[in-house]
Amino acid sequence: MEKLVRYFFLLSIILLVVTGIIMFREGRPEWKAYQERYREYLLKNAATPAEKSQADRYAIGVKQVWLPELNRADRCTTCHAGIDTPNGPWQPPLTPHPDISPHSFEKFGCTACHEGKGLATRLPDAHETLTPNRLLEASCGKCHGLEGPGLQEAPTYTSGYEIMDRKACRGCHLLEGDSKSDFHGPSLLGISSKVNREWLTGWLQEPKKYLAGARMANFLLNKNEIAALADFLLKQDLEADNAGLFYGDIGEEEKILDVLSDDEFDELVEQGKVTFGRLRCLSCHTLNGKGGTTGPELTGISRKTNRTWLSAWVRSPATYNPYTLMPTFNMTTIERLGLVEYLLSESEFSMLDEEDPDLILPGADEDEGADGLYNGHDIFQAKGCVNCHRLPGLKPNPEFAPPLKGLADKQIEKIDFGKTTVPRTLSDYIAVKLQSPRIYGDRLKMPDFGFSPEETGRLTTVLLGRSESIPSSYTVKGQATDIPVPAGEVGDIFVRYKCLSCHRLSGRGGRVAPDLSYEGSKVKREWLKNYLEKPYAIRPYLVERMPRFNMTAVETGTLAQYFDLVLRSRDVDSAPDLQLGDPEVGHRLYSDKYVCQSCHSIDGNGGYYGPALENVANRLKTAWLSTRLVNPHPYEPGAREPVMAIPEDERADILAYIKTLKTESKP
Amino acid sequence: MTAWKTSLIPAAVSLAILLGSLYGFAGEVQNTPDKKVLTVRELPDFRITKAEVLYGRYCAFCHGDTGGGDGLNAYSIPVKPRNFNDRTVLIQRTDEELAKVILSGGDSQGLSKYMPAFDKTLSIDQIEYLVDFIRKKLGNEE
Repeated sequence: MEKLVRYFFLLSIILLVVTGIIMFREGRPEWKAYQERYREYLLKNAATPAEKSQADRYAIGVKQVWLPELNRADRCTTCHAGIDTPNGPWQPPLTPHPDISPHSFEKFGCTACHEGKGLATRLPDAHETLTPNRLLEASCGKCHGLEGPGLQEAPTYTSGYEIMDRKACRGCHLLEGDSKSDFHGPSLLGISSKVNREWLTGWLQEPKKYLAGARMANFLLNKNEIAALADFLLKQDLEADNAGLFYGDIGEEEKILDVLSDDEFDELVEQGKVTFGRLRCLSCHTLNGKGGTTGPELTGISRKTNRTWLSAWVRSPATYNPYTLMPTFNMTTIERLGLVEYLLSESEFSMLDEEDPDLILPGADEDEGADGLYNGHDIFQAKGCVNCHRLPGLKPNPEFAPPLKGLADKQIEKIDFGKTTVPRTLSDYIAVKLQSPRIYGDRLKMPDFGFSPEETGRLTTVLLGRSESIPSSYTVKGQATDIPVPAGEVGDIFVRYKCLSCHRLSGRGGRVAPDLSYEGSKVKREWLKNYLEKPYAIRPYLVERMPRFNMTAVETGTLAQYFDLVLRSRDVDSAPDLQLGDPEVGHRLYSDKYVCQSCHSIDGNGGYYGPALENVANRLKTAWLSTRLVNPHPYEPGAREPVMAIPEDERADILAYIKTLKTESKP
Repeated sequence: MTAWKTSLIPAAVSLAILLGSLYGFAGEVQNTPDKKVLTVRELPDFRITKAEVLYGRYCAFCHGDTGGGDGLNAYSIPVKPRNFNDRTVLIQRTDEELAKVILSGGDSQGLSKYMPAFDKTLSIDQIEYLVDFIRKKLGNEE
């Protein structure tokens, strides 16, 4: 009996010690030391009585910010006490947060951007699901959407979205705002008259082999599948009516070439080169290493297509493919023939003569890919080709691939990592999937885009920002996109000249040329009409320039009127009129204080990063100039001009000076 | 063999399986031989990527794409922009000095007035990234 009492006593002692240890540890959590250090600093550096009393009132304890709208409670400041106290001799975790105004800590808390576990007050629990700092711009996208205002502060994010746009992720994946894919890749009807079988099979095998910057991905098809798909595609002919319209009398025209002497032919090619320059083809196409990437590269075009198709295409691209980005140019037959010969001749010089060892011949290879599909029609649908390339009778499937909207809200437990050892985080899942799309399973369908590590990082940043759990009171999406894409007469002109292949309007269209959303508040109607008739280089260093479309007077008039009446910014228009000041003072401010001549020239003197200013008052409206001198970014995302924030009186003087520069009545 | 020794065999087998599976999970991402797949941790430093975008937008036209002080605009302003490839210049300046020139413009630091101030355009962080980028990528400093 006594023995039992002794055991009981011993057990009680052990229990007491253990309880004591637990209580001691709970009483001295990690964060207590940080808060004491912080309070000590506050007391020592309090200069005014107000600061002193504030420091006195700082109580040691768990701190929490409650954000009912976001359904979050963040206790991060329990350890990170110094986030809004700059200039302290801080070591982590007390280091202050960088300035992120206009975002306030009271409204956004911490985890809305950084993720992690807001309620935890211990490491590593609190940081377990933290978004890595290098991907942090993803969080901008949660509220700002894909291209809402303010995103110029997030260059990794915006450049990632540009890659997404270019690689047409929207073809298969739904993004926010999408209910179905409206992406249209090149039309494949009549492809047998456009390309030869060798080129097509090579392209299907690895598009990058022909075009380093190809937009199409490698679908990792086996040889049987490629052969079957090529057989199927080469049977897709243009509808009889369209073929007649498209080719018309092209064959007759080409007979002109037969009767030309060698000298006359050379002259034709030479003229083609001039036409190539005049139409500004380089704005969209690359030739021999120079030019844009909106359209396909033209180097080596003779390996891909033939004279007849090229000529018919240049004459009327929309007849072949109604969704093409290429405008219809008004040019004469001779100009067109010359242009085509010029392109083919340029291409011959850069043509590679090597034999392709991977050439795929018609008919299936019996040894390989026994489990592959043998029917081109089925492959076309199963691999998702139909989502980007429309064929009659085949419908794109908007649920072909998982939607990307709401991707960031996915629970990690529900993601299938397959048999890989990829770290179990959403960001790693995305980054690895982008680089090796079939790594989580052989049956996955995503093709290989061959993204570089840099591209992978940028894309991961955008994808990690696709959240749908943010309440609408926090989002700033769509402010820049409230103007509908025009229909009717103006819409017809937009379609004919493919304005939105290069320009952007309401968040749609290309990024090559300026956004048109506020063009009416920006330029004067008379100037615009003249410019559309005879475009000239506003920024002479750019390769991409506005082509001369030879528009009719009615067309230019209609467009100028539409721009002036509709494409307006209320903010710019409603700004109070500026009383012009003293041009002498303005001149001094221009050249000594703000040193505008670093980038702008007047009569040839000065830099040329920005437009020349001698006739700028003919071109731009005063209210627009005035807002630009404050901050160009709200009206031109990605503007290259620094924010000058020039005060009103100085703006009045500078504008007065600019107005004296109206030297001639040149448009 | 005694009975307790026999009972050790299944125990040893299960221990071996347990250790083996732990070893398997501890491995790196399986890479196909011709393609290296990187996890987020191994991706290139994003601060440099970010700075590269900003440099291209605001700086390259004067300072040159590779920082040689030979951008297109360098020939139309009276004072040549700084050549960042020239290490002798960068070494003389602290990060704070470089940041100040970007922040407040050349004039404020007794340098060329043709260098504008970016205090209202770039955040302090972005300027830090740019300084880092100028030193590491353009100045080839370690």
